[in-house]
Amino acid sequence: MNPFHEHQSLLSRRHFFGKTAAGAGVAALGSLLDQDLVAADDPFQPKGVMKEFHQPPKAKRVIYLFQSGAPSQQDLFDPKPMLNKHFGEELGDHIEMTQRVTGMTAGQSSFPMAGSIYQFNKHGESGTEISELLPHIGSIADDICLVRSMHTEAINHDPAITFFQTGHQLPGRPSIGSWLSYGLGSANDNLPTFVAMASRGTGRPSCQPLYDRLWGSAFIPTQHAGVKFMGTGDPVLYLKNPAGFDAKARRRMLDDLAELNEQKLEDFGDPEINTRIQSYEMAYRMQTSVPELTDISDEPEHVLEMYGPDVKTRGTYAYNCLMARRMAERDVRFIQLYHMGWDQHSNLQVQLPGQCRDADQASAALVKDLKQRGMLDDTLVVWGGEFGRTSYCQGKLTRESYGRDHHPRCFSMWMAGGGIRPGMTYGSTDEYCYNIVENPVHVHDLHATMLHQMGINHEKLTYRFQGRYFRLTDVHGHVVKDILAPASMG
Amino acid sequence: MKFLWTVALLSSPALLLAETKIDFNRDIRPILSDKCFFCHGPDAKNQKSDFRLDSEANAIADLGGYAGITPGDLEKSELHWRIRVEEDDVDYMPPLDSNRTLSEAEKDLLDAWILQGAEYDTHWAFKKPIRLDPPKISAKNEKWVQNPIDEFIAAKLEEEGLSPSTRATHETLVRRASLALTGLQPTPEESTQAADYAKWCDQLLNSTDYAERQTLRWLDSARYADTDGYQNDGERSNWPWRDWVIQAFHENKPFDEFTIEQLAGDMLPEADNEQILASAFNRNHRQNSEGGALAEEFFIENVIDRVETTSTVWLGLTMGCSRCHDHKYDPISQREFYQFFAYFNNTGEKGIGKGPSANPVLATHSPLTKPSPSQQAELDAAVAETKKAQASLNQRLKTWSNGIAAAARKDSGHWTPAKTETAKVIKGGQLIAEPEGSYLFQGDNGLTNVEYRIALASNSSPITALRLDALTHPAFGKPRQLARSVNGNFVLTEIEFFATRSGKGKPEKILIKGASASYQQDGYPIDNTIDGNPKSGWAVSGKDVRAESVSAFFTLEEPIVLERKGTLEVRLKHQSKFADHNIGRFRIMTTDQENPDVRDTVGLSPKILSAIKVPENKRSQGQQKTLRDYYTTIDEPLLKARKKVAALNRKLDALGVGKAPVMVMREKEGEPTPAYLLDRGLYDQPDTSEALPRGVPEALFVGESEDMPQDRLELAQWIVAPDNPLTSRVIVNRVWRDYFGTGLVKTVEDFGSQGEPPSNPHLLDWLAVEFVESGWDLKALHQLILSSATFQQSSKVTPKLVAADPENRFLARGPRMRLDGFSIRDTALHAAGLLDERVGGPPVKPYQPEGLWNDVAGRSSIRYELDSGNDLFRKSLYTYWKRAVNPPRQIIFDSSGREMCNVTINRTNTPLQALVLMNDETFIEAARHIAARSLTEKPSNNEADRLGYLYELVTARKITTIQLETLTKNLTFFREHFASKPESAETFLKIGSTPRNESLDPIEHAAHTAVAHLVLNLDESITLE
Repeated sequence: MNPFHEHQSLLSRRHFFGKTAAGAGVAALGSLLDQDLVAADDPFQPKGVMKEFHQPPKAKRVIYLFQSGAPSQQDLFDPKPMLNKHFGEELGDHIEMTQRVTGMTAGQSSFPMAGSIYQFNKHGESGTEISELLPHIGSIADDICLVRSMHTEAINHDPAITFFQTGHQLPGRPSIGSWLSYGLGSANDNLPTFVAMASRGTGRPSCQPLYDRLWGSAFIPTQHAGVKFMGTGDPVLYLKNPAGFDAKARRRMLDDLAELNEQKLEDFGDPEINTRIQSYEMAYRMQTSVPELTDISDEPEHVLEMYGPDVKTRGTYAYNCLMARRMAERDVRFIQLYHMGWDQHSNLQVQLPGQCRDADQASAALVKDLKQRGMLDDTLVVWGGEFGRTSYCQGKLTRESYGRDHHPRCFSMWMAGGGIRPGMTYGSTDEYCYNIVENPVHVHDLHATMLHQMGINHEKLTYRFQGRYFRLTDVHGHVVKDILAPASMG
Repeated sequence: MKFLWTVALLSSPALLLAETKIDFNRDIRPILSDKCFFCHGPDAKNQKSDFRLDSEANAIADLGGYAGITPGDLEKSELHWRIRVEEDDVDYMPPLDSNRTLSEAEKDLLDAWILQGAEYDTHWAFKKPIRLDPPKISAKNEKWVQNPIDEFIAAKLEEEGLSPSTRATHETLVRRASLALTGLQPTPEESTQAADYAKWCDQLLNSTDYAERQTLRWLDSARYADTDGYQNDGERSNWPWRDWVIQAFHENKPFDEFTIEQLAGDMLPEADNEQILASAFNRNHRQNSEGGALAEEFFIENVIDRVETTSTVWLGLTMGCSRCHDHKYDPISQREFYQFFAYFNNTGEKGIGKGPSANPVLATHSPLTKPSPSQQAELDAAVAETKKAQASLNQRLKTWSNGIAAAARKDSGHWTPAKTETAKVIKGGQLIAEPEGSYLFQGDNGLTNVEYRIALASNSSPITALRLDALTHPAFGKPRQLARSVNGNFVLTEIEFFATRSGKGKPEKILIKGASASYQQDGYPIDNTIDGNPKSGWAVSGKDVRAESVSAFFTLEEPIVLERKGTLEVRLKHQSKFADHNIGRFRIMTTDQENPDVRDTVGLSPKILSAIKVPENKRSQGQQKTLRDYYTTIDEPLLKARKKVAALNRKLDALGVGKAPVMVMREKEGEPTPAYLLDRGLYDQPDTSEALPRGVPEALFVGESEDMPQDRLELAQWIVAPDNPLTSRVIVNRVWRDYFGTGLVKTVEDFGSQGEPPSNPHLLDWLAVEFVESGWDLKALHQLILSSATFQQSSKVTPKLVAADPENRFLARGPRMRLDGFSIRDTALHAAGLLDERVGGPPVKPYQPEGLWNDVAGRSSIRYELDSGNDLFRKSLYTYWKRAVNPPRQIIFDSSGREMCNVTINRTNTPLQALVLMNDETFIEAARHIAARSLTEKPSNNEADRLGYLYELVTARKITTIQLETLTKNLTFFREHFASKPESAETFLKIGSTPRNESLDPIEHAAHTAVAHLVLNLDESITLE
């Protein structure tokens, strides 16, 4: 039993004593229609508030590669030759500009169109057009589904990232991973269910920060919060034994602790004491399982090479991608990466190549690595930022130098594996990359789709707080059926 | 079909139930609210159906031959049919896709209610509480009773077939009361002295520990933090408000005053500083300073935060749900939400910007850490000195300008701004031309190794010397403001001159005879710029520096003459390792004088020089101002006086008794800012057709007064008016929760329709009325609970008790709950004798894992600077609270993130918590001190005594024989363990910043430390029981 999920608060003791835990967000039960992906004895069977999947799952786990700061779609995923053709001309002369702008460009008297200085090439059988800055992602074009029609509501980083990670712009809602943890429970007994990792971009080392709330659990009990894997120090806070206190000393300490706590349990009968004993044992197991996880000496050189030269350096994106794969192998359900620095307001031509160097090879390597292990089919990989960028230039536009402000109305993301249709491009934007012209996908839709692939009906996984039944998708969200692979990937 | 149902009903439990009287608020409203209101409730505008079950009139209205409910008649009640029809029928309610289902028992209750006449009732929490006499109870329980609380509890227990537990031991009670009131445990001496439980409780209530503990709870509700939140999450200094709260709890300020001052202290007649300070309660919200954030948007967010916080903390309502549409469950319309909003939107705030300057702001002392009278007198004297210097400034200005005018006319007039051909940056930015021949650097952040190349054009006269003015800019870092670095300082490592005399050919390096500067930093003299060593440089930081231009002068070996197309290139190199330490703004000037006098005119801009050259009586007003403004920055007596004030203020800040800017409320004068209904709650969708009058939701306005509160002050008074149905209940409920783990109303955050009805409604109302009639006396309320037999029960759990009441809602046993992260750390430090008990002052930074902030911070320069000395051991209440990265110990133990108001308490039990207690140096260091205390403070040389003392220090309990056995075993093991690895013992004992008692044998000390650490990890050490 995993004490992360063996229920801890007093409320859950009802369950412990054989009563049904009524009330708090009991999801309506559906029948398990498809036993193929997750067999009855599979560790991925739901063990959270859900005891059965709402519908057959297509993915056992999610790896979300969040590109914080908002990568420029015009320079990476969504080629717009018209911006080059009309280079420097006023965007407003070509399209009605109704989107509000941020305070950073609100004072600009001119909004000149900035064409990308990067070439786009067609890749694979699908012929997906991807920027020369992302050759490795180009090489997996036939494995990914590129969505060019994402849109969101927020225009500043903090509300926008919070929206993407919790379904709401303001703090106070649980993150995606904590919803999954709460719904499905843990699939392993020595690692957390939900892990978050961050890396700093070399393209723009000074960038907007991240916040605890992005992997927090808000009103859902704390054991469902993401466990932050650190880039320095102990990978998990307070993991290592104190100096001068070795494993033997630790074992002895825990044995005597258990003995004393059991005496207390006998005397007082409070079942919380038993949970505490279990928690200490899980903590002890983590002291072994986490170093095993982070010890990459068992990785063959050719695998390390796939991820690129940074892979051995802790705190880099490449390292975190490799960790993500190792966690996926160890049945961590939700693995959240953040790569910071994608906020190219100026000097895009200097910063963006740096960001792409960090992220291109390792992102592609992760997909390839999962695929060669047969894990891509049941692992959903998601790649993207919190909004898009403007087609007009922020600040002074020259042929060599430009920057782009925030644009929430359209941007690109991609997904791979986990029952998502490979080799597909979905949705499109107008020729100035201002509006979506077909198949818009909202943040809530993405969330609904992610949950759907995990076997969860986003309308049924709820948590009652302040009298309301909260959902990740609030009262919105549609599963984007068009991008689901036609047949079960088994 | 109908007939069949009627037959079926004959045996239905509804008929059986019909014999007991249904209570609408207890039995029916929770069902209707949870299962029906979402589509048939108060938010009529956004529902598919017009049919409403929240209103009696609507429920029984004739719908054309039938009615939703026909009181007393199931057959004629559509509600009955709809819930009883087959699930697959289209009429079935609640619909299958609603995620809501009615249990059979609930259906029976609804039927029984209809049969009994379907009486509606006002929601219990919106009716004024009435104090009923305590119920009659059995004679046996009479003996158990200590005060009226117990009579209500006993009656409930009798109803449930339970009986109260025995009284806990005196030792347990002394500890329980201490932890509940102060978050600390009694010391062994205190335990011995606390022979009288009631007296001990009084002693606790009068301690500052009590005030600090109550404050901690209040900070969560008030979303207090030491940073602004949002993207930038910069530092703010609202901590004097936190000290105001401590003082208020310590003085036992009546809760109604406590409320009024925090909600509207600024509006009280002749409000004093402390009353204004109190109003910071509603400025503890997050504050956005993200580049590009829109002021209107975040102004709205701030005001809405106040509405949500105020309504949660005092009224127990989820008013935030009416931001976008009428409340789905409670009678609060969207319009009423924005009428309530109108009390809080009139401070003239901007909505964006950094906290410390987000007006209205009050620079104030903490009420707890004011300067001493002598410190204050010293400061006052220094301020008076400044005023004196200012008064006599004109005379000195005259002397100075007259004295320097001659020099300026004769010598200094020769410095002319150089004409530039080109100004380039090698890598990473550009130089922007500005007026008066100056240049501003623009480029990326975080740069090092920046080089400027400025090509000067010929001006036909020979150049004997060059002058470099580094100029200030308000956007640069304080105090220097000469570069974009953190402190506005720069390091110029080399300056080089290359001449192309004729404009053609290879540039020729020009030799420099000497250099001087108007200011140079210790260890960074100007000569470093001409020593050919890229590792040395000229910098201008130092003690007491301010934003001020500095100049450097470079005399050439030989005067140089440029031909018409000739150029002189100046290279400024910044090769130090410090980021952004390149001169941010500068000007280059040249002279043709043989021996240029550089002393008097240093730092004078051409503008000043030209003004000074004008005879005194002919200067324009602008020129006079230019000179006065400049002279104010160099006048010795004034600078000296100001320096003294600054130094004194710094000293006071360092002592924690200085003033700090606190964000407060201050009502704007004149016409109030209009409030509009915002469509879907969006800031840019106001319905400007009607400016809404201020008002509280009609359903809550149940008192005798006919007038709605007109402003924020009246609102505050209404909130604590005896008529208010909610405030007193909400507050006593939270106090109750702090003692028993769960409130009488479990949903402490929601007293609305979706909240849980009170487990003991008459007790709740009795306490609420008692609280108001006592004069809102919080300490009296605490005394009442502490002195109840209910609180004094043993918290032992039997399987029978758990089965009957797993959550202990009926209170047939005492409370047992894990301590919070604050208390866990504080009790450990206290046991170790490390806890610093100073009260109030700026926040502190105790141990936290390295790199925690850096991992996710926006700038790699953001560092957590660990405090030293006693500041490492202050109560957790004072730990610096960064919103983006919360103190890890607290958050791991379920604290709220302080981003928004939170009144609920979670208690989980996770492996991450175990890791904190196992490995955080805080607990190892504490264990070391506890071990040392056990080895030195007991005169007896008996090992059992020592272990018993050690155990008592940590747990405030006497050790049992069986525990002693285990600890002895453990000690023996670690004694051998460390004896075989003495170096491990040494290392282990080095953990933490405090020195070890070297007189103790390291092996013994380490072994006892291990035992103490084991005891700190015990379930009973971290549990209130």
